[in-house]
Amino acid sequence: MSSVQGKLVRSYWIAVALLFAADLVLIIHYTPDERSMGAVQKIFYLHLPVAINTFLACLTAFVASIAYLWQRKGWWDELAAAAARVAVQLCAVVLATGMIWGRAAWGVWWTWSPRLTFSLILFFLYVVYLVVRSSVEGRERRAIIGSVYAIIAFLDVPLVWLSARLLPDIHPGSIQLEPAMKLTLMASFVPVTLLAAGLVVTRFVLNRTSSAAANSDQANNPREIRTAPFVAGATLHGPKAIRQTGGAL
Amino acid sequence: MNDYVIAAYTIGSVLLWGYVISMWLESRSVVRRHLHDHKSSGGRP
Amino acid sequence: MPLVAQQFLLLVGKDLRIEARSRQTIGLVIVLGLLIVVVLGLGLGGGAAVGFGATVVLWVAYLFSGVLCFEKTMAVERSESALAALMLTPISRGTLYLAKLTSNLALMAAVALVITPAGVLFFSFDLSAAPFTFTAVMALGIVGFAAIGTLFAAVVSSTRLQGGLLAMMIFPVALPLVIASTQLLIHQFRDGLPVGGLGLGVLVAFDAIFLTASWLMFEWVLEP
Repeated sequence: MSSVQGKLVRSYWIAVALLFAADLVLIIHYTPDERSMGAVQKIFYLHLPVAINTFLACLTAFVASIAYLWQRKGWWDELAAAAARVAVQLCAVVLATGMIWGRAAWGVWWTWSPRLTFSLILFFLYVVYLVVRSSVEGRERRAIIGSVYAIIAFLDVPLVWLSARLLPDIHPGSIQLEPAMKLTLMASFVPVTLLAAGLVVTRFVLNRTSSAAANSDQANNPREIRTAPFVAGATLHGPKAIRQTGGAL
Repeated sequence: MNDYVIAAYTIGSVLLWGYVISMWLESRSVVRRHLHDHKSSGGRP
Repeated sequence: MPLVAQQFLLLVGKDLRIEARSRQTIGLVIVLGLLIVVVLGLGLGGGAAVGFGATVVLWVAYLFSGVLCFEKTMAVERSESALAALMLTPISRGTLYLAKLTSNLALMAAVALVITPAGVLFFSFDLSAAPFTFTAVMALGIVGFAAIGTLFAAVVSSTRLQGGLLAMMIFPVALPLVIASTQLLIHQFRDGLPVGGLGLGVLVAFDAIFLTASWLMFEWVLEP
């Protein structure tokens, strides 16, 4: 069973990598330059999908946190933590590409424009989530506090977005998308979203595996081992399975 | 192709795939560590 | 008078009486706030941030002194297991939250009464155009700030690492308040635009959303 899982995981990531590469080819060769901004605008095809996925990761953490507070099952909290961590990682990419775009288009690395400011605050909101989690001892307490904070942080997101809109936007540029560009944009969403989802799921499984490994040594909660299929499969089926799953994960 | 566009895509791809690869590496050490722990505490071979 | 109101007044009265007796928190918080205004005034003074810079300076002072204030009002409950005793009573957690919030707001109001004139003085901020608007906007901001501050202070007081944790939790969440109020006041005093629209909406929405959310979630973060 675990070798099939391993093969699935490996094929998944190979597929994502191929789609990613194909998307790059599309962007470079097929898509025309934008009228007002020129070639620089092409950063948009990476920047926007990653930004949307950042928001989806934040939303996942929000929903998982509510679910945890309602059902009090540990894995909801671990899903929230995984999603928040990926949100921080994706937001770093949003900030990096956004700053490069700003430098290319308007000559400055930073400006307190609505979009950049929003990305920066979002980044800090979820970095704080990770720091708070690491400061609290005790799994249940950490889960409760993490969930409360994740809910507050997500409720804050639309307010940050709206208040950032009040800031002076030095260079408001509206991008005009021709049909070919719209197609590229839609296409770009596929590999990026698959990658982001893969990151969240893998992180979640890693979290579960680590906590199951911590628990199984105490051997006081057999249920935990059953819910971590990758590790359980490895130990029950012997070293051969480990070599296969270890390679695939 | 604009230098900035190349820089943006390079940094973006390095970061995104870097995250994937670092998790893959981490998963390998988790499995290896668990096997070691299990063996030393007298688990099944 | 309904029971809830009685309990509420009792709790607020207790907090304020403790504070009045020791005057410990209020003294520290006011002095800290004043010092922040002075330091920023020294650093920025001389034309750079005259006038409208006062709004941001005041916010910085409110943020730091507010964090200290919330920490200390929550710490009061730590001594002699006061919180544990409180949680054994039939008082609802929501009422506990509202009482703590009110105590915090009372202290912040006292702080604001001292710091704001100082800021206006050091930065030559001309409020005569719309003093009521200024007060209302800042009040809305401080209410929202205290709403999440009270909740997060309860979270932090139960963890061992206190340090800058409370400030770290509050600041990013409170940024919409800072942005909205400063932009609103800049538009009012520099451009003469009437206050309203998006900025005011953000402030009111923030207060409504976070008062409700904190009130609902307070019970989960309380730990004796």
